[in-house]
Amino acid sequence: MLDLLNLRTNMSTPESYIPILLQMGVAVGFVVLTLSISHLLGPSRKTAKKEDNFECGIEIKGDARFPVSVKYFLSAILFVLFDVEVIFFYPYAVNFKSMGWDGFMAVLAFVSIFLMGFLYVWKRGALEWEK
Amino acid sequence: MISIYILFITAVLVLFLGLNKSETKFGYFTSLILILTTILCVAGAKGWMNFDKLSTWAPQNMMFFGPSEYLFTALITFIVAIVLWIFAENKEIGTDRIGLILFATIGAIMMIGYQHMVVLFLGLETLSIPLFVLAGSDRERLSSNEAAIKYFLMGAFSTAIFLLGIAFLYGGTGTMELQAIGLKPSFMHALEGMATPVMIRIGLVLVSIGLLFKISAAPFHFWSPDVYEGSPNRIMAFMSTVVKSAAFVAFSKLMLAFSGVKSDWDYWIVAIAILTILWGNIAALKQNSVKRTLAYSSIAHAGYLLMYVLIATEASDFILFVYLLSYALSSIALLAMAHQLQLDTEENLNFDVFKGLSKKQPAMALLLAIFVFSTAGIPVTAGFAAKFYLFSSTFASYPLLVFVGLLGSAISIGYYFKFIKSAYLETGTSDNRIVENRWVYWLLAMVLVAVGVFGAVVLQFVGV
Repeated sequence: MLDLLNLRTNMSTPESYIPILLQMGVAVGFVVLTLSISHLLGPSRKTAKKEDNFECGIEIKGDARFPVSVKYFLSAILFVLFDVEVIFFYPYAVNFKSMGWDGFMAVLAFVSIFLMGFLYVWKRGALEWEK
Repeated sequence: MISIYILFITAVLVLFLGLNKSETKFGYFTSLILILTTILCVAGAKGWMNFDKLSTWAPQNMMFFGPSEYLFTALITFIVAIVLWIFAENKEIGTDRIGLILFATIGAIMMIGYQHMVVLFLGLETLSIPLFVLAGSDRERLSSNEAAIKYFLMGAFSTAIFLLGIAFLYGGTGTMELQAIGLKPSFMHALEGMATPVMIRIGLVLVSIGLLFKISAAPFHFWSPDVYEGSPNRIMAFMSTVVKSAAFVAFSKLMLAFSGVKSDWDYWIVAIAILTILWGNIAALKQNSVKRTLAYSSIAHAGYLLMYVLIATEASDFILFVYLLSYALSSIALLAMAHQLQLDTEENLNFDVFKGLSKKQPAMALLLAIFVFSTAGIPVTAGFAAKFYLFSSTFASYPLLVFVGLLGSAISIGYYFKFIKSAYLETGTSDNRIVENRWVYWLLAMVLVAVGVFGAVVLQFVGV
């Protein structure tokens, strides 16, 4: 009972988020202020080039909307999948000793489920580029 | 737990064995496995078998399967088995769809057995992500693609809101475990006579929004008619029954944990229920497509079922069970019959498919009438028994809601009658196809009538 009461007093209340609100207000206010000041004070001369979409400085060629082979998406998705698998290895490698055999078994289960997925993708023919 | 293991192994087996083969046989095989799982789960619920040993090495405070959880798991696996059997596909090559359906079912079972908010979230995602793909699995139909992208965007947003709600609940209660959550707010409430912390209130609203999205209650239902109409019939049958059942079990379990502070949340659940019942029923009147009508009918049923969330206690599982059983079986049967009568194309499934059914296949027309009566809640069917239990136990505390429910049921006769009208009164020039798998329909109709007539016996079996 006591410990529940303590929890209540230590709990963060909505009021303790006021600094965050202040910070948000300052951030938004700064952006609005600088943008509007530069808009009001600066001269505005519009040319065709200035109206173009900005990509990275090089002139734009063609349209962004053209059909791309599905294989690219497939490869991209598979890459993300196995990339994520590797990301999970890092925290495991750091905690390798402290997690012991239980951790090893968990990671083994994780990798074997992943391996099944990889085998399925392979057998299904998603990795065959020239087909 | 055992159902999750069985389904996972089956899914992987089916995926690998069915590479580049026709789907049909694997559909029947999976269906049989699911029936077996149903039997095992019923045995687990009744205590004939004990599967506790299998879950000893799983984290203990994450999931719990007691009698009622086993029973709802049995319901889910039974529904999926019926869906897979009745909508057996002949043309599909590869078994990815069956695999995805099984993985989604695992998510639904996780949502039923959860004890920890993280498991609820994982279950919701495991249920939703395969469904985003399955909704668009009819790749060459544009409306199917549209359904997939709509469902994905809406689902992603609702999941984000749901997750934020979990964070607020954690902030407010200091725990993620359902048991502990259930004790704390009510305890503090009684102890100090103070208002519930704002965080818990916000968290409850946000988490409910996430779940109300999945059950398509009124202000959050706009996606469902479009998605249901666009997705393949089999997936619509799965979505409108399994997803809704799992989400309702999870929702009522969550709200039951917060029943100590009921006065903080019951008023807006009542408002949403009233809105859902009226909106679903009135909008259904104007639909011409069978799938859209059934989609709005499922929205209306979600409205009735929200009553259960208000009155849920530990001992009232049978109301939810009987309602979900009758709703799921009859709506699957209605959709499947329309699907089989118009097998060649899935586009624009309107009421003409039933034209002249009473002349050509009188037995099927009779079964259609039984399914329609059960969905509408007309006596001697399970739908009536379910509505009767639900309304009569709600009446004491929320009489207004029951009144609206009765009004909604009266309105709903208007659109359910369309099925009967085109089957019995219109003798068109229809070239109805023969309904296959007739015995499944007979079985479903028998279950519905049996529950309707011998409701009390069924309740005794359910054990409450």
